Amino acid sequence: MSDLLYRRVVEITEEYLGPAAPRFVARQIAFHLHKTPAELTDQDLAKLIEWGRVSLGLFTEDRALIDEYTAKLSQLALNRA
Amino acid sequence: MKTQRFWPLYVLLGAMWLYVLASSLATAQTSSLTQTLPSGQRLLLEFTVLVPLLVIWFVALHGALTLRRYARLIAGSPEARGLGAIADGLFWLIAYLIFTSVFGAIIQTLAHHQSVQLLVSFKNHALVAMGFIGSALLYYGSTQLKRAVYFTTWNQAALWLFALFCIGAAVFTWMFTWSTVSTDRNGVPLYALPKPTLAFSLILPYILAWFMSLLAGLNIGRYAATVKGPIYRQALRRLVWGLVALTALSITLQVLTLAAIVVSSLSLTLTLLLVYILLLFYGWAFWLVQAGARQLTQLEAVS
Repeated sequence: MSDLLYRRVVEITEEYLGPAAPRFVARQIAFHLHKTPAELTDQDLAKLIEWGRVSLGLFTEDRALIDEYTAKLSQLALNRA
Repeated sequence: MKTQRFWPLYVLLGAMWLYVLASSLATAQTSSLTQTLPSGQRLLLEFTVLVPLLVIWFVALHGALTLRRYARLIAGSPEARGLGAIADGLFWLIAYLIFTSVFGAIIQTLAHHQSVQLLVSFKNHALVAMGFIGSALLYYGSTQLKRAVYFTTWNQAALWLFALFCIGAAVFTWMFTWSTVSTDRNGVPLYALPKPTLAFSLILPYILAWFMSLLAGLNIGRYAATVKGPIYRQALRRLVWGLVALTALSITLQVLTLAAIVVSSLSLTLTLLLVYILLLFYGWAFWLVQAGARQLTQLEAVS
């Protein structure tokens, strides 16, 4: 179940970070949630989205793109609530 | 894989550059291109070419090492193998760039030695081997990028490019076969084997190498255009421009090396212009590779 959530997050992230997405999401989970991708839960999504916003901001100044990314992740969180 | 670990390579490059410099200064007086100039101007001229050359060698090595380090960093991912092979290909193309100067310096020094024919033959075939291996690795690496994202090499534009390439290769082979020039402007032999032998041992491998470089450039461009993710593509842009420019430049340099017949008949001004343009573009292309690979590495560093 959790692995499925991780894969959904990676799928969304791939739309922005391409092949770098799986590594990016895995690092976010490890560094900020201190978990493995398989341990990701719905409760972690809010924190993951916030860190995703901060981290993507380091790569691009395109705020609309970052908002779009976090909106998609937020929608995922809502759908799973 | 830290770049600092490779300092012996930089030292080796410095040593080879010193040899090229010493050889150029020693033979400048007898060079038909510069012998009419006062010695001060001749010295200045040598330095205005050789100092940028050293900078470009260092930038080139740093660029290839940065790309190799990035490929190691993402080891296990679909695009790692392709980028690793491309970095290896770049090392061979850098070797081609460096040994063109080093072999040239050795041959100019031993221009009147009895072994010069053997040296010329060795130089020609060692350079074609380096160019061929480099291009093959670039091509192999570019096809491996299909593991990350599917793209097709052959579209209408590629077919047109292929047609132009075939015409260019045919014209080049014809010019090489029928040219009667066999020595450079200083009387040093350009080739040591009969033309029919060279057509198979030199021209054919070069044409295959150029063809592989062309396909590699197309594949890398297609990969960049097809891969998902605007932020990744943005980071990839410089690397792709650098790699595509390098494939084009490696073809140009190899054509010019082989077409020494044409180049050796140019005036000092035109020769210098050609050298400066090539150096400038080489420096720019390797800088792009280095900057692009560093940008991609930063993408992997953020958590």
